[in-house]
Amino acid sequence: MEESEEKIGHTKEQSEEFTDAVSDLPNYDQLVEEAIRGNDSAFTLLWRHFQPRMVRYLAMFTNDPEDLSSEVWIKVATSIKSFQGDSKAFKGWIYTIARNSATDLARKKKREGLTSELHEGDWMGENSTMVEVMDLIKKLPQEYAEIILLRVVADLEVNDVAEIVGKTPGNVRVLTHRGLKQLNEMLSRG
Amino acid sequence: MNNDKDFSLDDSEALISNLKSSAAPELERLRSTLNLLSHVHELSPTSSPPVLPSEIGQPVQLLTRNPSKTRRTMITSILSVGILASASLAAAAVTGRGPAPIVNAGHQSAKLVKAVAGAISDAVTGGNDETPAKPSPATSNPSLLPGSEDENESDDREDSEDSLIGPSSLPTSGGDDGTTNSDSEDSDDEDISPSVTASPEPRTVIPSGIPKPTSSPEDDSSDDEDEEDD
Repeated sequence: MEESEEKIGHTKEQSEEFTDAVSDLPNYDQLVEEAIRGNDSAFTLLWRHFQPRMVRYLAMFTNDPEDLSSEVWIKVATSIKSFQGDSKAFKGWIYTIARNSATDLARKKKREGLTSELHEGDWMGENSTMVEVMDLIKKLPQEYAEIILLRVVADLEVNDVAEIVGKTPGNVRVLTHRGLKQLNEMLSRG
Repeated sequence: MNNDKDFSLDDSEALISNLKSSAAPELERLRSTLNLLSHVHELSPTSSPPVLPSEIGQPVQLLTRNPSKTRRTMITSILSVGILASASLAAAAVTGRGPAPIVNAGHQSAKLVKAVAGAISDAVTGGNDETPAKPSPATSNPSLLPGSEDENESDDREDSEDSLIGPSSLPTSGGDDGTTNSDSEDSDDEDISPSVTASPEPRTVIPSGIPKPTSSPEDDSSDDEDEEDD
């Protein structure tokens, strides 16, 4: 347990290398507008911002989240000009596409009898602590894990998460709470 | 479980919304974990998405970059239909047989080809008065034309078709390979006689503004068409 705390503490010291999911991308609203109008540079900047978060979210569904994320971004690029909504809705929109793609992949794998296990890959990038954390998240019931990832990693509001997963906002809050409680217990047990 | 008593739904919401601020001691480890989870590695400034929106509207370029069987089949089908239509029009113009609209369209096409051929001939010869209005095969200059290996064949055909097709310096539209003929006509239109309406090329019209370098679409597309014809 102490070792785990040390690792987390060590990672916090190195936090300069990371971007903060909570903070907003500068000129995010403008970037989304430009990207919808077909500006490739704006699209690229949005991709750089969302891609690491999306990969981490998709890691819950597949052992090759980068590959799946490529499919997601091709879909986003294909239909971005027809997207009708503001910059706030844009974030929920791309995660909806990601979730649908992951669901399709899961169905396909189920038909083929394949299982998806979490493997440490380039997308982890950072250190073994992140692998441990993701392993813990994966041990949660998928419903809890997905909602925690959408709220924490994707930094989505309760209403946006509710729309993506097809539940009420109240239900999302409850599931978040249960998931966090279970995660806390797992951390306490070590 | 003391945690259950202290750890309410409101605590969960507060924890999620304030990952940076300190939490109750029993939740500190959870807060650290979530905080770690919320941080991701930055991508390098040179990295780029798998595809850009501007690349979506360029099927020929995408075909070149990522040729799937479906796309190749689709493009080949479109080209085949175009070639068949061109060949039908040419045959109708030459033989005068077939449905009236097709024959008429064939004659119109032949007139257009004749006009283009005249423009090309003028450009090649510099509008020389010595150039006969209906040059014989012997006066044509194969060295100036692309695909000169087929000249003898096309000249032979023109003996019977010259009243419709015109100058022998132009490849005939009723040849065995309609693709070659139509391609050379298009390129001649663009290079020599810009006043003649040329077929539009959508992939060259689309503004790119793509941050990463892209290959020349014309070169790629011509390669593809050649491959597909094969």
